[in-house]
Amino acid sequence: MNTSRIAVVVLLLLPVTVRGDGGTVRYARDCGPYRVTVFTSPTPFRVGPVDVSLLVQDAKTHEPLEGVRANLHLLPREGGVDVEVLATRAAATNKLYLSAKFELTAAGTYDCKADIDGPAGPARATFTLEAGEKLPPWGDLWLWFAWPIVPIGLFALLVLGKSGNVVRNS
Amino acid sequence: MDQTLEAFLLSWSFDPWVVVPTLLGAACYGRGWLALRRRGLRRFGALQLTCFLLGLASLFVALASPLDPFSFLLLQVHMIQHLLLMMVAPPLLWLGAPLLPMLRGLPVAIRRHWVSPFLRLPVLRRAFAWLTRPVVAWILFIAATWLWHVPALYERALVSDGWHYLQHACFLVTGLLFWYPVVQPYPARPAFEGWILIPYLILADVQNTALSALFAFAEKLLYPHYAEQPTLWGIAPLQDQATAGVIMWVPGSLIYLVPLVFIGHRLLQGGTPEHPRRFPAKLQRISLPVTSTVPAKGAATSQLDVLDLPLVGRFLRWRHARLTVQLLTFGLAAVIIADGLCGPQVGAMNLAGVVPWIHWRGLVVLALLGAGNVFCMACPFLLPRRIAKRLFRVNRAWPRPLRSKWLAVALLVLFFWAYEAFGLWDSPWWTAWIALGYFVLAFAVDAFFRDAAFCKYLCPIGQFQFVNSLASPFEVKVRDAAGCLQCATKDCIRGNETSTGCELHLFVPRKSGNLDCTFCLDCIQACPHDNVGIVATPPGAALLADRHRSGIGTLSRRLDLAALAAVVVFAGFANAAGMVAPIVDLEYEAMARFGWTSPLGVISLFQLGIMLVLPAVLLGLAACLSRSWSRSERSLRQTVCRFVYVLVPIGFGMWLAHYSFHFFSSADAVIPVTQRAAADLGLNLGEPAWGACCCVVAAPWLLKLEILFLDVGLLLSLYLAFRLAAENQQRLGPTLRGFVPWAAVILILFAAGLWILFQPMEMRGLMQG
Repeated sequence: MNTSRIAVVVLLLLPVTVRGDGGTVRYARDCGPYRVTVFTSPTPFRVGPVDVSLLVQDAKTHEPLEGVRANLHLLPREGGVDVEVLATRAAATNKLYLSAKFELTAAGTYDCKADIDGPAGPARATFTLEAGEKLPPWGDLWLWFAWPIVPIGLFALLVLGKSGNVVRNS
Repeated sequence: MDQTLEAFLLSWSFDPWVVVPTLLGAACYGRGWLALRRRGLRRFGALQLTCFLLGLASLFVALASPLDPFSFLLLQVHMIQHLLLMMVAPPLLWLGAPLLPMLRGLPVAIRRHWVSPFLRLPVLRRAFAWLTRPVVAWILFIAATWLWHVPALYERALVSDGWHYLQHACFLVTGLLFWYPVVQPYPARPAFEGWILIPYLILADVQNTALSALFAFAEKLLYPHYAEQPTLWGIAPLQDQATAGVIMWVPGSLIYLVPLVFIGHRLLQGGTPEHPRRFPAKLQRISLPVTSTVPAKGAATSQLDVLDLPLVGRFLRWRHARLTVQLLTFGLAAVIIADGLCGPQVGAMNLAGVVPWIHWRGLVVLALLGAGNVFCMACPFLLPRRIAKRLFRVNRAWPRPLRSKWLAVALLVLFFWAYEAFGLWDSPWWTAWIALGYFVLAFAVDAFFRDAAFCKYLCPIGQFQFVNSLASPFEVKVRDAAGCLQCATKDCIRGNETSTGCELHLFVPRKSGNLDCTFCLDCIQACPHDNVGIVATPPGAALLADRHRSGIGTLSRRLDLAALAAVVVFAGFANAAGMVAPIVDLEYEAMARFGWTSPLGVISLFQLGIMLVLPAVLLGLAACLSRSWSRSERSLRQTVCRFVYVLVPIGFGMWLAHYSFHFFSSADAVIPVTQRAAADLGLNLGEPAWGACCCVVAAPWLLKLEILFLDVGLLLSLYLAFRLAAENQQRLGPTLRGFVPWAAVILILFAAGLWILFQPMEMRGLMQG
C-alpha cells in the first residue's frame, strides 16, 4: 500500500554526503609552538583527486589558530614530479582545517613537508605518505551506473504481474 | 567567539546531492499539500506540513551541517547525527503523512506512468506490509542499531565513504520502518492491536538504555579512531564517549517516551485510531485520491502549462517576446563573429572559441532537458530571414524533390565531420565564418522560398533540436482537443492579421511531439480561442503511437527522419569519443600504420564510421532479429523507422553528459575572455586571470551527474523499446523477443557512453586545451 513512500522518500533522501575533507589522521605532533594534525582522504590514499588537510592548534592550549598559512610540498621518493600546493581554509568544508585538494598523478611514497606560518612564527612538519594505485573509476562509481537495475527489476515485476493476471483471467 | 566554535558554525557543506533532493522533496510535498488543501482535504493541515518540513530539515542538518565533518572528530557529534537519522527525521516525515501530498505533487505524467503502477504492485505492497509489522520493524531497527555500533563496523564506516553511506542508509531506512507502525501515517491501516505499541516502544527504550550505558560507563575507548583525533574544546576521548552515551540515553529515551504517553493516553480513553479500518471505496487504489477525483474547474488545463506561469507565461504571451530574445542573441552573435574575425586566433582567448563551444552548446542541451526547443525560439538566424521575407515577398514553394530531411542529414553529417576533422572548436576564425555563413544561407533561402524552408529542410542545428526535443518535457499542443473541433478558421496554421500561423505546416490539433516545432509560438499568438499552450508531456510519449502527424506524416514511413534520428544519436557518441585520450591515441596509431601525415583521413573514417556505418549495421541487425523473433508483420524498413526513435533518449543522455561536462567544468572561462575582448575595445574590466580557468579539477559531482544523464536516457530508451515491442502483441513472449535486440543496442550504447565518460577528457576552450 505504501511502498512508494519508501521508494520515493528513500530515493530522494538517501544520505549521499561527500566527505569534503578530513579523513584519516596521518600525522599528529607538536611542531614548535604548534600542534599539527594532518588528515588525508580518500582512505586508502591513492592516485586521483585527493585531499590533504591540516589542523593547526596551539601546542599548549590546543586552541585552533587563526591567520595560519600552510604550504604543502610532496616529493616522490622514487623520482617524478614534485607537488606544491597551498592549503587554505576556503577549500575546506570543516573550517577548522586548511585544506588542499589536488590531483595526485603517481603512486608511491611521498616525503611531505608542511611549511606553516602562524602567529607564533614559522614551523615545519615532515611526514611521509604512501599513495596506492588509482582505482578504476567504476570501482568508485558503480552505484551510480548500476542503480537502473532496480527500476528495471521493478518494471519486470510489474510486467510479469500483469502478464500473470492476463493468463489467470483467460 | 571560541575559534573551534566559529569553525564549527562555518562548516556547512551544501553538497548538491543533499541540497537538491531536499529542495525537490520539499517542493513536491508543498505542491501536493497545496493541491489537496484546495480540494478541501483538511486532514492535511499546517501540522502535517510543518512536521514534514522539519523532518526534511533534520535530515539536511544531519547530512550537510557541521555535524557531518565534525562527526569524524567527536563521537558525541556523530551520535547526534545518528539520532537525527534514526529517531528525529523518520517520525517527523511520517507525521507529515507524505504519501498523498508527495504523489499529488509529482508531475502528472510521472505519477500516472511511473509511480502509480509500482504502488499497485502486489509484491511490493506485501513486502512493505511485512517490513512494517511491529515485530519485523522492531528487530530490523534494533539489529541496525547494535550491529553498526560493533567497533569493527563502526570503525570501517569512519574510514570508508561507501560504508559510511551504507550506515546512514541503514539507519534512515530502519528508522522509517520502525516509526511507521507508531505514527501510522494516513492512509495507513493498522493491522495490529494498539496496545502492542506499548511493549514495542518500552523494549526499544530498554535496549537503547543498555547500549547507552555501555558507552557511558565503559572504561576504555570502544572506537580507537577517536583516540587519534586532535583534542577539541579540551574534551578527552573517554569523556567524549561518555557524553555520547548520555546523549543517546537521555534524548533517545525521551523520543521513545513521548509517543508512549500519547498512545497510552489514547488507549486509556478507549479511543481508536483516527484512520478508518478500511479505505473508503474511492481510496481502494492508491492512485485514486489523486488521479480520479472530480476534476477542478479548467480541468483541461490541469497539466502544467508554461504559459500559465506567473512571469515567464506573461512574457511568452507578449507579441514581441520572440523578437526581443532574438535581438539579444543576434547582438551576442555579432560580438562573437567580430571577435572571431578580429580577435586573437587562440580558441581559449577568443569569444568565438569559448562562448559557442562551451556555453551555447551546454545551455542548449540543458534547455532541451528542462523545457524544450528554446534555441529555435531565440534563434538569431531568423532575423535575416524576416528581413528577406519583407524585402522579397516571395511565394515560391520549396522544390518538391527536396521536401525531405535528406539534405539536412547530409548537412548535419558534414557539420559533425568538419567539427572533428578541422578542430572547429579551436578556430575562432572558422567559427565566425560558419556563423556568418549561417546568416547568409538563412537570408538566401528565405529570399527565394516561402514559409520556413530553411528551418524545416536545411538547418542542422534545428534538426539536432527537433530530434532531441522528443525527449523534452514540454510540447506546444492544444489544451482542450474538443475546443478545436468547433474552430472553423484554423488560424493556428493559416494565420491571421496578428500572426502568420505555423510556417512549418504543423496543424496543432494534429501535431504530435516536438518534431519540426521551432517553439516560434506563432500558433499560440494566432489562436483566437487561446487554446494552444506549452504543455508538460511525458518525454518520449509522442513516439508511442504511429499515427499520421501534421507536417510530418507517419514516422514508420519516413526513412529520412529515421536516418536523421540515427545520425543525431550516434553522432553524440562519435563526438564525445573523438575527444577522449584512448581514441585520439588510436587515431594516431592508425595514422602511423597507414603512413598518413595528416589525421584528417583517420578522423574522417572514424567519425563517418560511427555516424553512418555503425547505425546502419546495428539498426539493420536489430530490426532483422526483432522482426524475425517476434514474427512481426512490419517490413524491415518499417521496423527500423519505428524503433530508431527509442534510441533518442540514450543519445540525448550522451549529448547532455558531454556538453554539460564542458559547460560546468569551464563556464568561468568566459570571464577572462570577456575581459580581454573588452580591453581590445578600450574598456577596462580587469586583468584577465587566465590561470583561474586553467587546469581546474572537475568537481566530483560532475561525473556523477553525467552518469545520471546516461542512466535516465537508458531507462527511458528501454521503456520506449518495450512499449513499441508490445504494440499489437497479445502475449509477453513475442513482446520480449521483439524487445531484446533493441535492448541490446541500447545497452551497447549505454556501455559505450559509460566508457567514454570514464576516460580523461580534453578541457577544450581552456588555456591548456
